[in-house]
Amino acid sequence: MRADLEGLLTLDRLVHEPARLVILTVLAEAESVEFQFLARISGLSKGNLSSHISKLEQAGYTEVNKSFRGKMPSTSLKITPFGRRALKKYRQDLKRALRQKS
Amino acid sequence: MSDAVSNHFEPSPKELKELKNLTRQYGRFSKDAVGLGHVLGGGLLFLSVYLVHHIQIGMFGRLLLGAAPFGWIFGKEWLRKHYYQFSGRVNQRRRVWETPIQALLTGVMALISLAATGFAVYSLLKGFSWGLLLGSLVYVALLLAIPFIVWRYLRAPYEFIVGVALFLFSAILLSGSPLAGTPRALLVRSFMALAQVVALVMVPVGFVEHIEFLKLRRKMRVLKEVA
Repeated sequence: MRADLEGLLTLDRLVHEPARLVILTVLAEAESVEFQFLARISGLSKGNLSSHISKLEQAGYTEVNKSFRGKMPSTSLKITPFGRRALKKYRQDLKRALRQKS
Repeated sequence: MSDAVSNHFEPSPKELKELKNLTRQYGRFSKDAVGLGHVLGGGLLFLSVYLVHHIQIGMFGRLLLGAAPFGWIFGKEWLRKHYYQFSGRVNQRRRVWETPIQALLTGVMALISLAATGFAVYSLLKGFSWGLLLGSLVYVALLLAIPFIVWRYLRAPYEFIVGVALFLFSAILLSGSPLAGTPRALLVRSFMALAQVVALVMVPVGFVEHIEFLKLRRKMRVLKEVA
């Protein structure tokens, strides 16, 4: 197999999906982020966002904390150290693959 | 972005960078950037010092000025939660040095508060009067509250200096304690002078942060319209 293709195929698919890449990129820039902000900044619908967050949570890339602020429910998200490492590795792998391609 | 559109959405490196910047800027308003809260704090310190030095303040004025720092804390926290973080909370990333520095500052403030409390108790024992007892109680209560306030509410560097100065001023005003001629007078006055210099910087910094926020809000609105 061509080296550039092999590089692209070994990318972490969980991170590579555009919506999840956006979620992880945003979460990596903060200590914790509320769902409302993530929905606004990503432009994803609530249902779509929830489904991607569940996948990331199952993989151990994010942590979800549900609480109440007064009477209002609040969902706060956080990237885990494992998720941060995965995002860093994905960026490195992508750069390497693109370099090989060019 | 709708569900259907999201399947074809490919964020470019430029767009990802923009999202990162927006998140970072928005998150700053959870801790470092206080915006109008800085303007309020700096302005309040100037006003308090000016009034005390230029106008004969009665009991009501003392009470009002003494309570003002609490109003400031409430106001800046309200602005932070309900105005600056208008689209959900984003907590700024914690830097490695942050918690130790905060713990150190709180510890130093706790030591100073304890020392000042000891001095107040000593003064009270030396010349007891009911009036002095009441003043000392208020003074000690406010002094002992300072470390907690520092730990919980004074996270940005400007906030720390001006906030401590405001609460110190409040303790002095509410206790009715005279400043002149006491050993702590020089120390307190020096600190107040430093705090005023910081307040002088804090007011324009607050305005700059507020303008940054207005730009950020505009960008986020555009983002929502595009989505």
